[in-house]
Amino acid sequence: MSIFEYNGSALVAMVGKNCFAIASDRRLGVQLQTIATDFQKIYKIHDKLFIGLAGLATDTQTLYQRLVFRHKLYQLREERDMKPETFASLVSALLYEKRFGPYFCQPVIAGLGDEDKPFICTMDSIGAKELAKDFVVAGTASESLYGACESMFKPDMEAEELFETISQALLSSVDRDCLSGWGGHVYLVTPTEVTERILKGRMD
Amino acid sequence: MSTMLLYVQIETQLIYNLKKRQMKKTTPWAQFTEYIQKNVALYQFRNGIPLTTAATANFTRGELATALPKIPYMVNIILAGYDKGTGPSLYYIDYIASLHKLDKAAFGYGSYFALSMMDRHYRRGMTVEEAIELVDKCITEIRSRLVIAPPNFVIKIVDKDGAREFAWRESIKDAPTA
Repeated sequence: MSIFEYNGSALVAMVGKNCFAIASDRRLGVQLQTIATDFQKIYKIHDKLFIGLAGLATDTQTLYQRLVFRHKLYQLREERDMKPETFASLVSALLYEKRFGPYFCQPVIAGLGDEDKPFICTMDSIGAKELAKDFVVAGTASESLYGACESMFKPDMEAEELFETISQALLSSVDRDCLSGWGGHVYLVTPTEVTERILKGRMD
Repeated sequence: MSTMLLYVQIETQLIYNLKKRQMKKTTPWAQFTEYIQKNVALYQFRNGIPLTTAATANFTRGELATALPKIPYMVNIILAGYDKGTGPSLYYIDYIASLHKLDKAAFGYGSYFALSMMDRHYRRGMTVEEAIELVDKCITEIRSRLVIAPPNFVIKIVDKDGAREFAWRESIKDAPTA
């Protein structure tokens, strides 16, 4: 079994009209054994920038700590927050730094850039960026998430419809994956507010 | 005041847990916990304030994580502590340095039975007496269902008065030690 599938995860981000949503499952497992059902996989970098980290839990925690450190240094030096594009390049650089002994993570980055233009992007464990206009997925449930998102996504959705779509896509996908699930965590980000919601899901 | 208790268990040699306890300086988990304990003490000497349980958990994770790509410490840790203000807390840290705050945790082959017992009987806000009763249930289950069950168990308590040994559950008295 791959090291990427050791802890289990499902991550998805979607773009709507001047907004975006990023969602994850909440399971922390060790192979087939569930350790916790309140594990955090999506982290806030600043008010309009979020990163989700799928893959090996220990590496996601290490990588997150390094990213926070680098972002804080950037804030001190530049006296402003990072743009999502810049942050994606930072993540990519940090991952490629470890090209021959990588962090076993697949990040999903979602943010609002200049003039509140939504930006979403994913990467492999060595920092190869994959930019998308509609949605990105990552984690052990990525295959079923592709299917669910492909059939449920519509361009230019309003915030509330986007929330419904991403939640349904997540919940139906994790039911087909043994290693992720046990509820969901959804962030809905518009230019004016950030909404955080916890989803109840199948407990098996 | 803040007090802590480390329960550490090595990945493979669970059966010899008790015997190896006597040869403290030679086992990976004893070395690692001693290293953590001494560093926590050093911090208190230097700064005059003790590390909180959360800070200790994160420090421990950091040490495990930096060693991971070099020579990993093959130790799983359950860190329990009591802090004024925050109250009691329990941290799960496995040998690959995944850190998580939990209500109940177990490691090793016996964990399958202990976790099942705790899933069924654990409630938030149990009294010490109820908790000890549950721990005893877990021990009974491990002894009756686990083929390679270790003979002796220690129960320790961490609360506002500090960390202390509460009782032993021994099936072999004066076990010969190598």
